[in-house]
Amino acid sequence: MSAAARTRPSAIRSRLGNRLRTIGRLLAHFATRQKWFLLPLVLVLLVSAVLLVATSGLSYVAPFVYSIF
Amino acid sequence: MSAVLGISGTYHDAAAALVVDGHVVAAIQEERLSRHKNDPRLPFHAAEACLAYAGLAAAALDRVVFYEQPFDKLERVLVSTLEVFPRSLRQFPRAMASQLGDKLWVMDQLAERLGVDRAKVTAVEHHRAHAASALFVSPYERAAVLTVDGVGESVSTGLWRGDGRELTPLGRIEYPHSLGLLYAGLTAYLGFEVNEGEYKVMGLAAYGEPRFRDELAKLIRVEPDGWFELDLSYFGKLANADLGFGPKLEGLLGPRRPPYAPWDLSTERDQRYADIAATLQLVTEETLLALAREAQRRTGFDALCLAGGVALNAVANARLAKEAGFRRVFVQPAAGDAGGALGAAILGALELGDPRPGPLTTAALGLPADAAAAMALAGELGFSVKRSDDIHTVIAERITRGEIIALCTGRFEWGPRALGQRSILADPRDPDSRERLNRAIKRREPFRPFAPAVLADAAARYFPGAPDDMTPFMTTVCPCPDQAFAAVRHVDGTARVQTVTTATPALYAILEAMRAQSGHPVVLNTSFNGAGEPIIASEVDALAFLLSHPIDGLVVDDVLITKRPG
Repeated sequence: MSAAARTRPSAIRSRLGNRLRTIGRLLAHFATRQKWFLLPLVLVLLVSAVLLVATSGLSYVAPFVYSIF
Repeated sequence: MSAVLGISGTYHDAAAALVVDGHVVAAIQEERLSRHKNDPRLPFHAAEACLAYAGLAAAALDRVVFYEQPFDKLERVLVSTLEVFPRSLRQFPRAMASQLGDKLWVMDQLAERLGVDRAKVTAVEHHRAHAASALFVSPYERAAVLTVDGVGESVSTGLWRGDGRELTPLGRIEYPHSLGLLYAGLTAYLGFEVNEGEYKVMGLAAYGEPRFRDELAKLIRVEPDGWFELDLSYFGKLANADLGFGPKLEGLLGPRRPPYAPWDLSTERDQRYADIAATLQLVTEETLLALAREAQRRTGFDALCLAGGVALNAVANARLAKEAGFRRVFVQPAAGDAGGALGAAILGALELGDPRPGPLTTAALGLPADAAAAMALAGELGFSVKRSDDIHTVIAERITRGEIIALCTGRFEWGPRALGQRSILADPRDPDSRERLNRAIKRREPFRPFAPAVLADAAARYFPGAPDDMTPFMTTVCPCPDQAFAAVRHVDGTARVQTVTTATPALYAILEAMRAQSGHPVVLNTSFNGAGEPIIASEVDALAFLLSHPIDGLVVDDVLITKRPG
């Protein structure tokens, strides 16, 4: 087994840890801003985001996008 | 003492900037290396190039600073999308795909791809990064700072008091009320691409009369203190991300101009669009003037720094310098979103206790050209290659006899302007050069002007008012009364002049040679790129350009390369 292959599980664990910490910070952000009403929406969308990432359904689009970027 | 990497990206103009021990070591836009114009992707090529130039490993970085707060941005997008629900239904999935599928994780991605500890990756507010990118490389210890763009996280316009190492917010205008949004909406209406066509609107404006003031007064209401408000009904309540304006705008100004249709300003139709562009430019200038006067009143300072995409409006900057009540005005060369990377890096360095960087004297912060590699490749391509001990005189001679010469020397520039490192040079007095450049080489709209470069010590003779703090970076315009300089004089009698000192050594030497030969140390200087391409980065890009464009010669450092011996 190569060194790269041996380190792969730890890299995945590290990435997963980063993502979970980011989700925690995001929820704390909405909580401290008293934007509780957005939390259910954010949670649903986060699940959608995982699906989007998993299906590679993303692309860079840059027409007139101030409203969404 | 520390090493800090600043990063901007994920919308447009991604860039990386490296500050080591308080010095700006390198600053590179991703598009230069990826060869994808306005590349929005996280700038890993640029980041690696900055580190390689400095001889640093990513692990040696003390901090990586992203130029905006992802959570704040997500909050604004969510709230603004919900505010116009259900109109926003169509754009909602795209907005969320972009925010949650990508932008939300940006700091994790930076840590993982660069190989730095996630705890070292932080973010700063978008407009603070803009403000820092201007103030902390300006020649001023204290200045009012105005940041104006489309939108950051939620702010479109910021007013700051800059004093030493401190930036104190004094006021803000929040999205959707945005001067950048107004300019972008009308850029789209005029048939140009948003985030790219704004320069074209500015050039077009000089051909029109501002006769649509009453109509544009309905789009934006400006108070005497510069506070402004858009009437969102003209922008389709911002519910259409593909268009940027609503049917009500076409009801007010007439049908939009079809994108990509050739321009003919002798027709009534296109003249009308030029008049709309002229009115938009005037409204933009007057709004900025009101904001700048308020900034002067509130700070009492005699210097102003500007940043944000709107600060790239060189015509407006010239009016600010003259009419806003400041003695000096500074706009750094990458005032748009790319510049946010520089501001983020400097803010990180200051927080770690490093000194404030010195004033920016050159925009040459990219990677250097390699003349030996160019010679080798040119030889393989069968080009004529001549090394010269007096290359600057050779260039001046060729330009004086009407040739168009591309110059690739030293480190490439930071920002959207070619400032003598990756430039195409021609005789500024020859209108045929302008025609040839526009039609055969640059292949762009005939109304777009070319800029002159002039020795700073002679600038006032040709361009009254020059030099000032902006002219080294071509972020303002000056009058050009001498009609002999037809190739660089815009239709309104101005020129977007670059003043040159020994800080730009190659162009300085060429201009000295021009003075010796023609009596005038002035040259036409346009960016070294083809239509729709980023400016050239490497000698390989330069040779590819020589292969595919009808220029008369290419100079890489001290080597002249031509397709045919001569």
